[in-house]
Order: sequence, then structure tokens, then C-alpha cells
Amino acid sequence: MKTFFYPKLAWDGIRKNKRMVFPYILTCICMISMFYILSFLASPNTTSLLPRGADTTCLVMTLGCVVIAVFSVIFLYYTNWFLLRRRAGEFGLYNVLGMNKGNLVRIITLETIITSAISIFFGILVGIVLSKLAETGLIKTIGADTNYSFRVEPFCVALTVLFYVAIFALIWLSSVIKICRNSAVSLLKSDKAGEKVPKANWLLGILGAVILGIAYYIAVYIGDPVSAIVWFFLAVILVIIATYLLMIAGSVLLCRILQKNKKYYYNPRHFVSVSSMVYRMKRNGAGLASIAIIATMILVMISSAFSLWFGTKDMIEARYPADINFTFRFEESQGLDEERLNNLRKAFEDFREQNGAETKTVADMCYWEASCLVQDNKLCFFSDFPEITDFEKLRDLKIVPVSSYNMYTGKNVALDDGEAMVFSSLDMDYETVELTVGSLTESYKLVDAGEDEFFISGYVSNVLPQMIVVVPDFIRVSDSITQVLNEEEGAYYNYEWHYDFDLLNSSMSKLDYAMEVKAAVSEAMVNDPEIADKSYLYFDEREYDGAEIMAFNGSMFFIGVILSVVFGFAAVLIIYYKQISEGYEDSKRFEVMRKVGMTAKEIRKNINSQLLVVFFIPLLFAGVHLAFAFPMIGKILNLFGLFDKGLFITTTVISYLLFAVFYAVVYKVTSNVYYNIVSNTKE
Amino acid sequence: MSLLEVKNLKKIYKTRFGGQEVEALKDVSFEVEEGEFVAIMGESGSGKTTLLNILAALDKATAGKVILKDMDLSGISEKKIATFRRDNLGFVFQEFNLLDTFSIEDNIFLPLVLAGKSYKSMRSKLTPIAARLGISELLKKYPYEVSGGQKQRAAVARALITDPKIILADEPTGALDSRASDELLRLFVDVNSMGQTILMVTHSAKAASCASRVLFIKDGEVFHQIYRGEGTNDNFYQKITETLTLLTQGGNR
Repeated sequence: MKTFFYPKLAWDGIRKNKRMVFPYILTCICMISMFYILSFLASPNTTSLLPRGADTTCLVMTLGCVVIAVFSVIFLYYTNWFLLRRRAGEFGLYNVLGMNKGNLVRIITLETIITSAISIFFGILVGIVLSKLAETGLIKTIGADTNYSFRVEPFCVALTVLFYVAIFALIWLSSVIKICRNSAVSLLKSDKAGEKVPKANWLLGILGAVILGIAYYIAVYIGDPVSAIVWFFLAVILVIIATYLLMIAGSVLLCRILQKNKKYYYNPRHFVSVSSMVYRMKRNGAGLASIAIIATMILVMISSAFSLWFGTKDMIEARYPADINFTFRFEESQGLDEERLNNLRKAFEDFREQNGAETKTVADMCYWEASCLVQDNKLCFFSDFPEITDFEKLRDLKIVPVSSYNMYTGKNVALDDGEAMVFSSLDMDYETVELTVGSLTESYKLVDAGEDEFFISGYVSNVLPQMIVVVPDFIRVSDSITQVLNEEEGAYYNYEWHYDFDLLNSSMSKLDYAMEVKAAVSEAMVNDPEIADKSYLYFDEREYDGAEIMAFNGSMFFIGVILSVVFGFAAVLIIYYKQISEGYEDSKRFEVMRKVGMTAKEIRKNINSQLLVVFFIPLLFAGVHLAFAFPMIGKILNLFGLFDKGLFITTTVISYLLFAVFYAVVYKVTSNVYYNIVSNTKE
Repeated sequence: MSLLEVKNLKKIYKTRFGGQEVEALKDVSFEVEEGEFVAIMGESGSGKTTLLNILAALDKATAGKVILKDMDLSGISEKKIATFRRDNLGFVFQEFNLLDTFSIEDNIFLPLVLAGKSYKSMRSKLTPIAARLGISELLKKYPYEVSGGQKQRAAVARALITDPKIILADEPTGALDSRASDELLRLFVDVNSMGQTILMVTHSAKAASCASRVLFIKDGEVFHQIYRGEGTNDNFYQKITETLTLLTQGGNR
């Protein structure tokens, strides 16, 4: 009998608090299983199933693991603190009834062992069961073939178990410290502590608003994608701080202002809800802020994950316009001699005929490229600006001969000497454009280019906005700029020829065809001594090289979904705990109101308006955060090669709407729990 | 015609499982005249609280009638009962039942706000009451910032502000120390002398000795009642304790 006393007490403690403990265990199981699944996906046995991009996938999944790990520590610590606070009274009573601290620690230890054992066991079990599904999902997402063998990764199991045992040990330690530090009386009272009505703190409220303003400013006005990533993190941190400050102090402030308005405040519909909101905000402001931030994270992840995923095909096509894309890079303009290019074209043609293949040319164009700075209508080059201060004005400049432009677009534009067309992502509302380097200035009169866009695919264009200048005297102008640039060291420029074609009909695979034609063409180049060691050629085969993008986007998509599920679970749990704890608090309050003469209907109405306001504040915040984060995330997605703004807008709006529905459902379900608690104590 | 008439009140509780019946009130009848200060005494389990809950329309009687100024409580629909309570009854509880989310002032305003009164009219009602109860200085404070006696005075103010026909007090001195109890009782006598009818449930002979009449309840029935008459508080107190002794010794009337 005696030996089973403490286990029985611990088990009873869990059973009696199942309303609290059960969701906690459920969340633990969710996190543990997701951790296992991600580590499983990162394992070499899984990534080896992928055709390409195994490293990318492994990296993304490992990062996801780290995120879940960090989040688990913070979140489980927080929930345990909440649980302990609610149960402190129970422990205080045991203490008063004659149990010493050692006995209490024994109960807590047993309880921790029970809950963590259940969590880890079922977490791993669920993880193992779902891992095959996740693996198949990932591989299908990336677009490879999957096998159907089921396996368990012992290493991942061990890692997961060890990690979560460590977390639970940490949580256990903090509980023990709390119990040991507090006297019986303070334990008895601790679930009633903090009942003071907060004073409105102007300073904190204003500070929150200012910080939020700064964060929003950063988010909206950061120009180039490279610095966007750095600033983005700063903005995220600022937004988190501001959200907490605003929720805790700002909302109290707002309610205080409402209270000052006697006519508004002393109205049966607002009286109770406004005052309880003031009372609640400070203590639960942190909870609301957490919900708002988690909601924002989910929305950002879901919308960008879906954007990347839906945009993958377009991204690949923008990057690799044809099945096989050849780039010839020369140090000097003579590489782009029409005669020389014809030789190369002939080499392609000869190879095609030998193999009886059928091809369709998609692009055949020459250009000179370098990075430049835009100042009004002046395009200046690096050598003049050794220190780059303004990233936003950096452009990837491509000077294109009008012949290439005509060949690519199928138009027949004729440019006179001194005339040029400019294609830029930003409007150029000038009469002329000037290319200046050192003392040299090449000035062109601008000709209307019409509505059609013109874009050259390539690597650099993914980072810097492209600026294309179509000129009649291509060789002359690019050579003269090159000459000046060469006076300095480290000047970077290229003469390039793009030759992209679709392979319509061939006995060879596209990759094989590309490799063999590359060998053939290289031979033709080697035979040309003038350019032999001053040139370089490479190709991209869309399917093969696109697989890398596919793997990256697929992994990002997958991780976005998984992390959203984990965060979603956490948000639901926070909401649920809020409802429960407020239910217990409010049941006493509404009992008093009933005695003073409030009808059940009025009470219900009051509860409704109160819950509605309090619970939809986070959704509102998340929406505003998302709206302001939008331009910045758009720029970061640009870095990944996604330029389709419309797609991103659509996915963001749809994610927000879906999330709102999900949130409303959670709200409805949990508010029923609240009603039950409030009305149960009434009878 | 009495202000409050209680006729053959009966209340039976049924336990949820097993259907065992507990008779909380057997047959209670009494009347309260306008301007009276009546104390109801009895041991725990005698049915005091049940009686008060029925009078407060918080609970329904199994049989019998409660008539407050020509209105039969059992005849009021569930919807209107809250309004009825708000307009006609004032409550003072043992645990004060002030809401910690409201300042003292807002706590006192609560019933008026629920009745949809304007701020100006509430304000003009509060000022004299607060002055009389000596809480004018405390109005902006919160319940956790004031003492138990002050809280109870605020609760009395909340009960008085609606000009109720009758104040129902449930062990109002139960949570107070003796000095605060004395103050509160003096306040009750004072309020009563201005014509306010009070019905107080208590088990303190001291508290009961301030009333003008004391009803004793035992085993769900009115066992005995005594009037103060012209006697002093001490005399009355003496009589009450004697009756209580009789009550506990199980004697008959």
C-alpha cells in the first residue's frame, strides 16, 4: 500500500488535471513526432532517394529540426510554468497537510516521468508511423520516384529521445526549484497572485507603437533583396518586441481611454467587457502577443512556402528558358564576331544533323554585361564607385545589339546612331541615357520601346534588377567602356553569347545530347586560336539543373507545412489554456454579476463580446504584420528567383483567409470549454 | 399588508444519483413589515441559506409562496427575474462579492449600469450614499487596496444605490473583525432608521441583537421569534442567547 502511495498520488494529479495535462501531452507528442520526422528526412538514407539536391534538402530539414528544437524548449517551458502555477495551490495544500518538500519533489518527479514517458513513446510512435508518409510526400513534392519500403532510423530515434529527455529534465528541474523556493502559504496563494489591476503605462505603450513603426518602415522601405535578409531579421525582432509591448501596455492604455469616456464605458454592453479586458490584458497580453506572433509566423511560412512551390515551374522556366541553354563567355569582343558565331552555330547544326535530332532555337543573342549604378539617367560603373553605399541603385546592366533584340523578339526595329532602347524594372522617364566611366561618356537618345517586356535569363539577374540597353553600335560602345574599365584592377564584365534551344526529337536524353554537343562545340572553339584560352562555355539542362530548384523549393514547401503544423498546435494550446484559466477566473465574477441582477443572456452577450475582441486582436495584428512584411518577403523570394508578385499576393490572401477560418473554429471550440466552466460553477 | 410575505415555504433537494431527498425547508411562514430590520438565526444546516436564496429568487421553492409587495416571486418568468432582482432587491454577502476588475465606484455603479442609467444620474445617487457610508475617499480605489470593513461598506453602498424594497444580507459580518462588524451593524441600524427594510441571515447573536426582530429557524421550520420591544441591545442580546441555548438543547417551544 505504502509503496504505491506516491505513484498513485502522481497519477491522480495527472488524471484530475486532465483538462490541462492532456492537451499538453498532445502538443509534446506533436513536437516530438515532427522532430523525429524532420531528422528522419534529413538522414542520408532519405536524401539518397532524391535525384539531385540531397545536400539542399538535408540542410533545410536540419534547419527545420533546429527550429523545432528551439521552439520546443521555449514553448514546453512556458506551458509547464503555466500548469505549475495552476497546480501550486494543490502542492501548497499537500505541504500544509504535512508533506515535506522532498515528498512534493517525489510527486513532481513521478508526474514528469509519467507525462514525458507517454509523450516520448507516442511521439516516436506517431513519428515512425508518419515518417514514411512524410518521405513519400517530400519525394513526390520534389518530383522523384519513391519506393515503398518502410524503415526506422535508429539514430534519429535515439537523437529524438535524448533531446526530449533533456528538455523534460530541464523542465523538471525548474519545477523542483519553484516548489522548493516557495513556502507553503505562497504556494497556496500563487494561483491567486497578480490580481492587481494594471496601471496604464504610457511610456511602454508609446514605445511599442514607435518600435512597431520603425519595424514597419524597415520592412517597407528596404530596397535590395541582399540587405533585405539582414534587415528582415532586425524587423522581425522589433516586431516581436513591439507586439509584446503593445499587447501588454498599449491595450491597457486603449481600454483606459475607453474608460475615460463615461458614456461609452457606463453602458451595459461595454461596462463589464472593457473593465475585464483592462484587467486581463496585462497578464494575458503576453499570451495574446504570443498567439499574434505565432500566427504571423505561420502565415509567413505558409504563404511563402506555397508561393515558392506554385512558382517553381515558372522559376525554372525563367532561369532555363529552353531545354538546353548554352552560354559562351568571352573576354574580348572579337569572340562575338558574326563570323565566329556562325561557326559555332554551324557546329551545333552539324551535331544535330549527325544525330538526326530536331531542335528549336529559343534564344540566340549577344550582350555585354557588368554591374552598374543608376543615378537619374546616368549609368556609372564600379571603378568610379569603389565603395558601394546604395545597394538599391545597383543594376545588372546588359548592353544588347539591336540585331540580337530583333532576332529574339522577331521584331524589326531599326535604331539610328545615337539612339537606344532601355528595358528596366524601374521606369526611365528621361530623354537620354548616359553611360559614363572615367572621362568617357556615351550618350544615347531614348526611343520608346513599346509595352513589351524584354528579359534575359541568367544567374546575376536573380539578385540584381536587370537593366537592358539595346544599342545599334554594340561592339563599339562595349569595347570603349571595357577599355576604360580595364585600366583598373578587378573590373568585372563579360561578353556573352546565349544560345538556348529546345530538343524536340532525339534518340539521346537531353542531358547526354547537351554534353555531347558541348564537346563538339568546344572542339570548334579550341581550333580557333584567337579565342581558345580567352573563352569559357557552359550549359544548363533544364530538367537536370531545374531539379536543384525543385529540391530546394520542395524542401522549403515541406518544411513550411510541417513547421506550420507544429506552430499551429502551439497556438491552439495557448488559446485553449487561456480559455480555461479565464473560465475559472470569470466563473466567480459572473456569479457575482448574476446575484447583482444580470441576466444569463446579458452574461452570455458580455462573454461573447469580450472573447471576440480579445481573441481576434491577435488575428488582426497578424494580418497587419503580414501586410507590412509583404514587400520584404517578396524581395527575399526574389532572391530565390520568384518574381511573380501576383502569385505571392494570391497565396498570401488565401493563407490569411484559411487561417482566419481555422482560427475561428479553434475559437469556437475552445470558447465552448469556457462556457462550460463558467456555467458549471453557477449551479 | 406586509412588504414581504412568506407562506408555507418548502424546499426539497434531490441528490443527483440515488434520488435521496433532503428537506431543507419544511414549512416556513413569516412576514416582514415595511421598515423592519429582521434577523434570521439558526445553526448550520437549518435552512437559512436556502431560505435566503429563495427570497433572492436565486433558487425556486418546491412549494409555498414568496410575495414581495404584491408580487409573487414564483410567478415571475425566468427572463424577468434578473430585472426584478436588480430593481427590488439589494444584496450584501459574507464575502463582499466585489469584482476585482472594477474600482469601488464602478462596483457600486454595476447594478445601475445594468439598468441602463446615465452616468450623471448614477453620480448624483452615489454622492450622498458614499458620504453616509464614509467611503467617499475610497471610490477610485480597487477592492484589493481597501480593508474588509471598507469592502463591506462598498457592498452596502452597491445594495443601497438601487433604492431596493428590501436588503438581503447573508452573514454580512462573517468575514469581518469585531470592530468592523460593529461599524457595519451600526450602519445597518442607521440605514434601517431611515426606513430601509433589511432581512439579515446570521449566526452571530451580536449581529442579531441589532435587529428589531429575530426569527429562529430549526430543521427547516420557524422555531421561534422574539421582538426587541423597548429593551436595550444588551437585554435583547441576553434574550437571543437564551433562545439559542434552548434551540441547541433541543427543547420545545
